[in-house]
Amino acid sequence: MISNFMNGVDCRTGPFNEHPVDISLRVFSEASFLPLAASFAKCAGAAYGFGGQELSSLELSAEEVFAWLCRLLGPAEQVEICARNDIYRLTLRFLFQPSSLNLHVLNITAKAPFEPGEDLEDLGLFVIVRLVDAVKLTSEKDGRTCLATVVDRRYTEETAAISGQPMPVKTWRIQPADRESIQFFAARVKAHYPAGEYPGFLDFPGRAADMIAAGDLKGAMAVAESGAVCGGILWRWVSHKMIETLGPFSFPPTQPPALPEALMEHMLEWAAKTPATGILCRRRAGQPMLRGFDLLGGVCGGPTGQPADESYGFRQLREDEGSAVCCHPLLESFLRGEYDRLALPRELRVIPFQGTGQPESTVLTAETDRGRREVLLKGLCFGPDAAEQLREHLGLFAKQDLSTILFELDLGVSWQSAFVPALLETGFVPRMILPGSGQGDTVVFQKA
Amino acid sequence: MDLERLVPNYIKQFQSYVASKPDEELKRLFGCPVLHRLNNNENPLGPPPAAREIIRQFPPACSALYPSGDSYALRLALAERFGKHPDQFLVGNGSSEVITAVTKAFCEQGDNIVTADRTFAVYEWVAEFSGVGRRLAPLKDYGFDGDGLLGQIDGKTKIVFLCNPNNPTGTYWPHDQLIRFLDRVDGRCVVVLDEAYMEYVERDDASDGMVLMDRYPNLVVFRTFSKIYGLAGLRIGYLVGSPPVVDMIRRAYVVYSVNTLGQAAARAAVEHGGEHIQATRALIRAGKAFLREALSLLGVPFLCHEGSYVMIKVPISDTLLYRRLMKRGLMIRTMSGFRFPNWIRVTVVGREVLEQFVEGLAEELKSAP
Repeated sequence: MISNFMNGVDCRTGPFNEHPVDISLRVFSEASFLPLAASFAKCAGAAYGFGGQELSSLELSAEEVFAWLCRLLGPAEQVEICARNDIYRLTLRFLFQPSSLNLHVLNITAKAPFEPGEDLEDLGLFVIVRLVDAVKLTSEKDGRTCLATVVDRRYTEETAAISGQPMPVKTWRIQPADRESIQFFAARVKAHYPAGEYPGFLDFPGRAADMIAAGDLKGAMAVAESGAVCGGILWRWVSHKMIETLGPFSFPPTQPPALPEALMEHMLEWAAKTPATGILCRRRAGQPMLRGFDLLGGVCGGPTGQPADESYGFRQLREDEGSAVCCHPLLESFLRGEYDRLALPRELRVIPFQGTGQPESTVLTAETDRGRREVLLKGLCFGPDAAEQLREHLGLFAKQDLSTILFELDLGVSWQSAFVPALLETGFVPRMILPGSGQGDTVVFQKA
Repeated sequence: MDLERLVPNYIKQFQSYVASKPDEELKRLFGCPVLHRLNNNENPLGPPPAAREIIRQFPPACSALYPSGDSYALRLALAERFGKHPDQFLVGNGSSEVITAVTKAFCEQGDNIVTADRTFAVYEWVAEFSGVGRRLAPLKDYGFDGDGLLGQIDGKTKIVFLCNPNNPTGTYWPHDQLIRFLDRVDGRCVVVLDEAYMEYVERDDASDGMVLMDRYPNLVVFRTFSKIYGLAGLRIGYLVGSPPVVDMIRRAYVVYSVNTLGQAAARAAVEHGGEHIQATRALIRAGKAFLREALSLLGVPFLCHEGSYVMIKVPISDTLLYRRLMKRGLMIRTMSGFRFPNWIRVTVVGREVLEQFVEGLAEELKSAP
C-alpha cells in the first residue's frame, strides 16, 4: 500500500543505504530515565532546527512512548531511541526487545498495566497517535520491535500560484528537480491543477524543497527554450520494491501529449536500474488512468465520510514470469478474477488454515497517517482472537476520526491467509491486488 | 553471521539477475501449449551441420575427463581462420566470462569503465559487482555517440566498451567512424569492441576489429558462438587482442571453464560453418523484410538495423504486452530494463513464427486501452 512513512527504507537512494544523520540514546526502561528520554527528543529536535509546536510534540510523544515502555518492559530492559532528521520531518524510533512479553501488548489497542485511578483510555499506545503526524510499529531484522513516531516540520508559507498563461511549447529539455526549481514547479502546479490532483506537500514550497534536499523526493522538470518550466514529474520510494509517481504535470495541461510522455519515460528510465519492480500511481475520481498503467482498483474515503474514489494504477518494470501465491478459499474467486483481468500468471495454492501451532493472540501493526485520515493494518501474528482484535481496532479508529481503514495481506506468507474469514466477518472487502509489493503479491482490504 | 559487515556495499546494492524459468514451467504458468522464444536472439537454424555431428557423436566417456584448460585446439582453429597467433585468443564460458576477465584485469576500485547508457547490460553489471565505476554516455540517434564517450573518459577510465552492432538498437559504427574514435582515444585506455552480432552485418562499410587490432594494440574484440553459430547452450565466447594485452587478461581468467563438447563443436563451426552463416543471413534478411512491411502496416515505430533482432515501440506498457503475448506462447524481451520504456525487442526467426507474432501483436494492440 502506498505509505508516506518509509520505515526501514532510506528514501534518499532506495534500500540498503546508511542513514547519515541518526543520533541515538540507550537507556534502561525505568521511570527515572523518563525525563532524559523526553529531553533527548526535544534536544534532538532543537538541534535539527525544529521549533515550538514541533518540539512540544516530540517531547510529549517521547514521554508517552517511554512511559508505555516502562510499564511493559522489565526495569533491566534496554530501550534505544534514535532520532532521524529528514529536514521536513523528524522520526523518533524506539527499539526494544519484547521477547519476554506476550506479543499481544504490541497491538495499538492494547492497554499497559495501570495504576488505580488512571484512565484506561489514556494508557494505550494509541494515545500517541493524537500527538504526532504518523506512527508505525514494526519488527526489525535483529528481532527487536520498533515503534516509530513522526513529527512533521510546520511550514507556514503557502505556495502562491503563478499568474499568467504559459505558451504551448514544441521543444523542451528535461533536467533533474532541485530545491529552486521545485518551488517554481509547485507554483505552476497550483495554478493549473485543482487541489486533490497534486500532492498536498506542493502547497508548501519549503516542504517540497526540503523533501528534495532530503532525497525523499525525486523529480524532473521539463524546461522550454525560454527557460520556463513547462512540466514536471515527481516520484518517491514507497517500499523496497515500489516507486510512486506523482504526475506528470504540464503547464498548461493542454501541452502536447509528447511532453508528459517524455517526463514519464524519463522517470521509467531512472527506475530501470533500481531495485524497483513496479511503479504505482494514485488518481482521484475523474482523473484518467495514466497511459501504460494497469488499473488495480480503488479505495473510498474522504473527510466528509462521503465516498471519494481513489484509483490505483500499476506498471511493472520487470518481466513477470509467474509465481505461486497462498490463497484462502474465501478469497479464491476474487483472486482468480483479478489475476485474469491483469494477465498475471499465478498459481493459486488454496490453503484452508489448519489452525495448529498458532500463537495465543493476534498482533496487528498499524500505520497511521493523520493527514489522509488513514490507517493501514498488517498482521504480525494470527491468533484465534483475530476478529475480536479487528473489531477493537475499528472501534478505536472510529474514535480518532480515522475514516479510511485498510488491511494489507501478503499472499507470499502462507499463515496470513488465515486472516481472511475475520476480515470478511468484520466488514472488510478486498479492493485490489498490489503485484509483488510484499514477499509475494499483497491484497488490500478496506473496511466498507 | 554478520552479513552487513562481511558484504561490500557494492554487492549489497547490486540486484542479482533473475534468470528465465524453464520453458515447461512457463508454459504451465501461462497456460500456453507451445512457447516460441523470441527474446534471446538465438539462431532458429541451430548449430552448423558439422557442429551437430560433433554433438551427436560425443563419446560419453569424455565427460569423465577435464577439457583442454585453454581451449587449445579451438584457439588454433580461430588463429587459422583469422590469421593471428593462437595466444591472441582467450576462450571463455560465454561472453560474460570474458567481459569479467577484462574488467578484473584492468580495473580496481576507484577506476571506471565507459560505455553507452542503453546497450548490452553485462558491461555495467560486471563493473558494478566488481566495485568499479561506470560512466555512461547517452545514445545519439539510437547509436553510440563517439563525442559523448570521449567526454566521459577521465584519468580513472580503464576500458571503453563499444557494442558494434549495438544490442538492442542494431546501430553500428562503420569502419571510418571506428578509426576516428580509436585515433582520438589515442591509447589512453583499452577499447573493447563487442562484435557478438558482427557476422550478421552484410554492409560494405562495416568495420572489422580483427583487422584493426594490428594497428591499435589497445583494441580488444569479443565474439561469440552463441548467436550466428547457434551454440548458445554450450556457452562459448572469446576475445582477441594484442599479445601483451591478452597476456594481462589471461592472469584474471580461470582456466578449464569451457567444456570439451563446447570446444569441439565450436571448432567444427569455425572450420565448416561458412554455409551455415550464409543460410542464417538469408533467413534474417527475409524475416526483417517481412517485419518491416508488417510493422509499417501496424503503424508502430520500430528499429530494424543490423543484428538478428528488431526493436518495436508499443503504445502500451511493454511488461503488460509481455504477459499478454506469453499467454499466446510468444516470448519477447521487454526493454524497460534497458532504459527503453515501452519498447520490445524481438528475435528475427522463421516466417511462420513471425506471422504468429505479428498477428498476436496486432490483436493485443487493438484491444489495448
